[in-house]
Amino acid sequence: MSLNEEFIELTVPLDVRYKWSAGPHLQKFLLGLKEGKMIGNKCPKCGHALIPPVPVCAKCHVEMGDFMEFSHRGTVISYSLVVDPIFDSGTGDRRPTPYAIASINVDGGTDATFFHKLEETDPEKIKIGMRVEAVFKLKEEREGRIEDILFLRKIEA
Amino acid sequence: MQKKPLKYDEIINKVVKPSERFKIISEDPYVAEGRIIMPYRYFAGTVGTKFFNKLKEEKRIMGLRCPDCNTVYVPPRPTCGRCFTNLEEWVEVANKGTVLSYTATYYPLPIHPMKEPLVYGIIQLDGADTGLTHIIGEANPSEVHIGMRVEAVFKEQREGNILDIKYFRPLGKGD
Repeated sequence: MSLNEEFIELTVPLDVRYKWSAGPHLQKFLLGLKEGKMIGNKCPKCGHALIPPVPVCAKCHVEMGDFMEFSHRGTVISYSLVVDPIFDSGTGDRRPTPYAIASINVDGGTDATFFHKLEETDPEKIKIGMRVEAVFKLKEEREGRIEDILFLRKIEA
Repeated sequence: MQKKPLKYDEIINKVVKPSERFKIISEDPYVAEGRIIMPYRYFAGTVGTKFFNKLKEEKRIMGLRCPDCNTVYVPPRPTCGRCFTNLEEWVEVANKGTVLSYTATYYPLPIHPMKEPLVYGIIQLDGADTGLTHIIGEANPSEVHIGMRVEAVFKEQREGNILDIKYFRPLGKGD
């Protein structure tokens, strides 16, 4: 088989339609975002806290405590810098790069972590330990989805 | 009668509106409908290209035979799954064979190529050692059975893909 032969190649979009239910815990979190709140819950036994909330403690497997509000502020404990301009399935355009997704330890004395995009896109200016605050959309623009938080903005320590 | 393929930007940005990508249809319980649409390129490869071209141009079903273990693969693959030998010997297999297994799908899905109940089957064509997954048509689910003899029905207008075979029908039907 010579390499001059034309090979079959298809350019088609993958188009997956879905219907998704959040479940009672994620629902509480998403509707909480609409009200400008960060909702999570805490384990009554070991104190492990999660945002968004979950039904059962990830560490000791007992039922988690009631829903509670957490601070909008935290400290960056880890991040990933994305450099490949992937297609954003939410907009259809390629994401402007570089951008960073960070895991932050939310203020309040627990181990609660939260993931979101950083406002800062210059890798030189992103540091582990830097202080950030969740910036929400204007109240009338919020819908009850993760994008109700625009990004995590750097704040002074 | 070839449709001009759309460029990615045209497909993604113009065909699917942002509001279709994620729409909250109920808050309590929280339910959202969405659509993930991403560009995708599929390459048939050297073996796939030859297999599909033979279907399209000559209505022949081709397999590849392993020189070491004699297994004839249909659909063909570049390397033997048992011996890891590179496969180069093309052989034609019959367009009829035996149903090894099947599933009848009763619920509707937009992607189904035929109306429900849709019967899928794994068919071992005469001369092949492996099964080919395809549709079993012109048969009620209750008629289909393991060991049933079937033959390929080709499309009139073929494009160089697996649906150039419309389906497999019970042997002897339609004559």
